[in-house]
Amino acid sequence: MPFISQIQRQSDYAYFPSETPIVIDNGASYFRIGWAGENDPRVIFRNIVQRPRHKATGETVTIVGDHDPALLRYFDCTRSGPRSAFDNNVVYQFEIMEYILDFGFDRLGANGSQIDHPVLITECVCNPVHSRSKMSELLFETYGVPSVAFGVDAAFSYKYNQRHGICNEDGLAICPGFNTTHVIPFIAGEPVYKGCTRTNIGGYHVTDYLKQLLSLKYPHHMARFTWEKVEDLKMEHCYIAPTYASDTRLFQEIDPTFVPKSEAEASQQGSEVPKSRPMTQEDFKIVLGIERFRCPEVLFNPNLVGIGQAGVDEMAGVSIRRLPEKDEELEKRLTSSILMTGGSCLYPGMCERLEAGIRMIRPCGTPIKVVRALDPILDAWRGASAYAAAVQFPQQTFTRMDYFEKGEDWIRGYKFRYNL
Amino acid sequence: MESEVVEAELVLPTHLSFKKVQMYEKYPKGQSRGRHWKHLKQILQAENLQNYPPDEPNYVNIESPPSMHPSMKICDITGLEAPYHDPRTNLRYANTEVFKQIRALPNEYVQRYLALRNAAVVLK
Repeated sequence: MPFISQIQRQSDYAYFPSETPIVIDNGASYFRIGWAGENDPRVIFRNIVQRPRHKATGETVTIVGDHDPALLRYFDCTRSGPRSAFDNNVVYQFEIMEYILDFGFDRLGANGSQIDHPVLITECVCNPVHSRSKMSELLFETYGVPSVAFGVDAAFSYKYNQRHGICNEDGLAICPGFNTTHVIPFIAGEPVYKGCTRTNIGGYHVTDYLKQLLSLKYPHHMARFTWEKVEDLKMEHCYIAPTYASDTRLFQEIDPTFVPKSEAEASQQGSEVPKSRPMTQEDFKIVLGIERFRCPEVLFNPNLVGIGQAGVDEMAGVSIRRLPEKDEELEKRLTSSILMTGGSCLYPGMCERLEAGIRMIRPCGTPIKVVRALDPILDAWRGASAYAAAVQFPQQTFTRMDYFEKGEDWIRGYKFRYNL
Repeated sequence: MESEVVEAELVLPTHLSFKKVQMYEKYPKGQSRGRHWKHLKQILQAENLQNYPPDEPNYVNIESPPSMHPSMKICDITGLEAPYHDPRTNLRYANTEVFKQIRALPNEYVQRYLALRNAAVVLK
């Protein structure tokens, strides 16, 4: 499994002077926290909280992140499912956010009476004022943080890759995430939010689609298909077909009498599902045939799950159309440096499909180059860390005094400059 | 607490030294905690976006428009290309074998297949 949680408690909190910022990548799937200037976040865990009841003592406890299911047998988890602080990609449940921050700071090794370091935390694009102000309030009031800065994770990832020469100053960042997909144009190194688009489809929807399809296909295995297992299957076997029609033809040729639900289907990939009662070997194989590329297809065609918005390739066209100035040279520069970042861009075949899709909607002969970020999952944190280590970072933060004196309108106008 | 649970540090401790206000002070036991958080819809309504110029980007207007391409019709059961549509169950199917299967499905499965593409009849 490519995503591994790191929750070892760090012991060197005291060695960092109070000017060193703490960098947090607050994503809907994973929460990453670490020190500015370093290459990797120290603590990584899933951004969910469970509040089960302990069976023996009866008290309700809080468990943050995903844990070994064997240990959870001491807890009564029937009434408490995993809960996330996010609604779409906006933080709205600040009690859960507080539990998560508690856990994150605690595992970073925090001690002392308050968190004495400036904090750089990521947020979604055009975050509503309510969410931003509640987050600042939480950090200032409860943790005593001296100063806070908010930035967009996709932008940090783009700047990091720009510094490493993967993409140019003018370009497009395509960020399929967990709940949403964004396309953000960058001009002269700064994101232009006027041209930004967001579709409410992401890795969560792909996994959910796969889970529903498998439960319908294998109804007697339904209880076994937990969300985490299906996510593992998705990461292992799913890919994106160059065109949907061509790959369905592949499946039709191999077995012309395609009959779903029966184990006699020609299998492309089989995977074992753990046994629970004595039955034949055949019963425990699940066959992932066409679902392998049907599910990620949802990113390009959200109509497949009933979401009536544009898919990833079309969004690039919409984004370029929305830019305030119409400049052919600029558009050529934008399409020749397209960066894919975010966890849901790791499917094999995504680059080629995206390139073909964008070629269809742009004028003939425009230069198109699609590249994947160096590390789509960690690059946002790395970009933020490199940014926070710069000398000019303190100018982009705002302090507690600013927040209380200037009020909500100023928070609404708070804009982060990515070029230092 | 069992020893292995304590060793694995599974549970979040109730008192953390670096917090100015602890969780048990903020949310006393017995009070309903979850109900006072605004959901995204309410947050967006409270933002009063109509008071601000419409071409400034905000959470609502950066959303993407509906797709211009004709929607891709795939068979609900097999996933192959589906030119046909069953009027009784409203499912799409690829060939006659799949059609026989569709007509044999119990209603619960039909509704679940439809719910996959948000086409199920929801009785509120």
